[in-house]
Amino acid sequence: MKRRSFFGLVKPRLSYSAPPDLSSLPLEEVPASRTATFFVPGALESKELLTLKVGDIVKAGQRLAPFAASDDYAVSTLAGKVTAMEPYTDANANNFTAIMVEADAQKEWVDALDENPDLATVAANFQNGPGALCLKPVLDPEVNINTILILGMDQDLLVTAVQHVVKSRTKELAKGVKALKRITKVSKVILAAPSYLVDAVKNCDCEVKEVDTVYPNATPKLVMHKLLGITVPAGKDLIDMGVLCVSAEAVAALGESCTTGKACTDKILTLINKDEEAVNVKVRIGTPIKDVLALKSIMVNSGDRLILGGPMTGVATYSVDLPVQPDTDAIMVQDADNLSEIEDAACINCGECVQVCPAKIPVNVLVRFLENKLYVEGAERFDLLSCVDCGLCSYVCPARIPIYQYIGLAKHELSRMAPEAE
Amino acid sequence: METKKKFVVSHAPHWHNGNRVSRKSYNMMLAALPAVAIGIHQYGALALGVVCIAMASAMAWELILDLLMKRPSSIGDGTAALTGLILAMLMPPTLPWWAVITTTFVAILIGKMIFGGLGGNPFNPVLVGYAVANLSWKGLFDFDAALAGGYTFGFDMAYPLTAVKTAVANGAGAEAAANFSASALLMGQQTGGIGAIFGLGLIIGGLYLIIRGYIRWEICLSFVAGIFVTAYLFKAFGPEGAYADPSFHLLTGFTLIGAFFLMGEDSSTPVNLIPMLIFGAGAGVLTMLMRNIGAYADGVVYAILLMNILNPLLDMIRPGALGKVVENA
Ligand code: SF4
Ligand code: SF4
Repeated sequence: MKRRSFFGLVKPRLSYSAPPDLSSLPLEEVPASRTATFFVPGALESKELLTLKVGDIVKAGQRLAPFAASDDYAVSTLAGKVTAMEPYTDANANNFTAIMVEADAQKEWVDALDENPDLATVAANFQNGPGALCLKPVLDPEVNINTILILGMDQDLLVTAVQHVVKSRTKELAKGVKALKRITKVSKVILAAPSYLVDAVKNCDCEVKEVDTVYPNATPKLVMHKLLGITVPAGKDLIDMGVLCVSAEAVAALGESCTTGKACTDKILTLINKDEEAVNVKVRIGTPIKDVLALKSIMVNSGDRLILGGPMTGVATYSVDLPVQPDTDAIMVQDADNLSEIEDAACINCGECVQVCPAKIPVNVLVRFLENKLYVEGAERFDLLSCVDCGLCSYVCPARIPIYQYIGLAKHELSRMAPEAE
Repeated sequence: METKKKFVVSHAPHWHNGNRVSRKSYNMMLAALPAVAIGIHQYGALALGVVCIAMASAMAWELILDLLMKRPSSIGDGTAALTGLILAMLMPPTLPWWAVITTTFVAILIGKMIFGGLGGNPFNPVLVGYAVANLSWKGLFDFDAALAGGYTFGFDMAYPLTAVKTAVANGAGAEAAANFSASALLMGQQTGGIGAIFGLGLIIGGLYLIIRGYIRWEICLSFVAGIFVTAYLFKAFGPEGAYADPSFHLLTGFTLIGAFFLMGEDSSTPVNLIPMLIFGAGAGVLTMLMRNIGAYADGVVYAILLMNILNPLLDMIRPGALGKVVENA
């Protein structure tokens, strides 16, 4: 954990980590687990109406779309039998249906895809591939996507998974960029990568921009603001600006699939142990977290913290049985003795949060409103919706107010209120 | 099935830089030590007594008021002890114990607790306590009167600001100020509050706090600049010889303790750049207006209190947030 420097006058400069030297460190692979679990958006209500049932046999690469009425799906990364289907709710109260598949001996794959898949095929088969490529906005006739922003940079400290992909899968990435351009017919493609990776992406047929490696400059909204010169208005997102943001890992997976004709089943993720040593590993999507931890013999005990993601924005979770998901770029474990405590103290108006906030939000005032559940005022008068979700305000707050948690809650409450208002 | 392990599930970020409120309090006390030590050295046991009583009583009031108001105990953040210490630094060593504990009571109760505790206070609690006590017992806080009886030092024992104030009325401020050399003032050879006389110690403490980021340099330095520039203008454009040098005003009274220890209070001061500069400079200008043409010999306390009132208004001047939607656009 990076401590406040002795010279507190200098504001904290937290830097993203650079990926390891690939030649000296071969990418370790998590052994294939017997089971895998996939989450499909949508609440599991009545089992009768489902098109998929416990006991069904699925092939590797097969679409798992249990709801006939919805176009949401997951892709099975192994061949086997569906052993369970259960409701699952994530930390943001979104409902999913968890589908557990147990491997069988056949290892049968679905028919190979066309070498030059069209938009509909890609949208229908890659959504739950590594990096979670989502092309829905391109298909949506009401949305006009004119730019694709490929993030070749990780979103959190210590995490180097995406950079690892950029560095090690250059060919696939270049091929993926080409495929993406062809199928989406979007000609403006921009790849954002740190300066030391610019060389690795020189073969990609797109514009390359250098991201600053000081946290949180790789956050999509800040990349937009600083590199593309487009400021996303508060409360809007990149899609509203006609920009589709995808992870470089997803693009590389697309490139690979165009060659192999198979859906990509493995992703790279950064495993961070209790001593904050990070190592990248390759793992099949759907693998239970406990199997990933076992690779490095990381023990998680009661009172520890298990985090999906990195130290600044990761989501703490409660079970090692949860699977690695398409967008899980890191798994981090913190020892019970090293947890930073939060307190419910009052803001002392020290201003540290204001100085550190990349979105120039008057956090000191905002937090007072949010503590009193005045979310609408927070959004209208104190720039709540300009927040780029970096968590730095909580990180520096000497009163240890869980500011970022208040912000997350406020945004969530506002988004629940919004549809009602319409 | 194995027994379920319970992990700690909490919201991001999962790191913290380790800072806490008490750190600032303790560092400010540390930074005040040189000035306080010289004060005690000069004034002796009486000064030590005032410092101890002030700190102890401030902490006691905090404890008692927390209990009475059924608030969670806030003594651990160290701000009560700090309030007591800074108050003692402003006091003459001869202040009777009952006046000391009343002052700390006012500071903690009216300065802080009735606003809901630390962070809610619109005024600097120290200044509230000091201002109320000073208005109530003017004589006790008058340094010339307070020190007349018991002390003899090897330097001019007139309270510099009062001496100059009287002289300014006769158009001879510069001459009166010339009796106090800058080096003597820096080295603590002047009368004044227990912790306000040793200029050099205050400067060192202040720089320490600035470098460590515990106080906002923008406010401190703009205050100093405000005093300097205003004093300079008075001297340059006022009647010949009527007003004292800027350096005299920087090193006397509560200027330095004000710049670093009174301006260092968080809750009653702004956090955005431009408001910080206005706040500091404004307090500096007001101080000089009071010293040179107002009713008070020193003006720091009232100048800062006045600026405290403006603080919420000032702090509305802030940079536009990222992607701020301009209304009616
Ligand atoms: S998380 Fe905090 S510091 Fe980061 S953008 Fe939002 S308000 Fe600002
Ligand atoms: S960092 Fe915390 S205590 Fe300081 S102003 Fe921000 S919210 Fe208040």
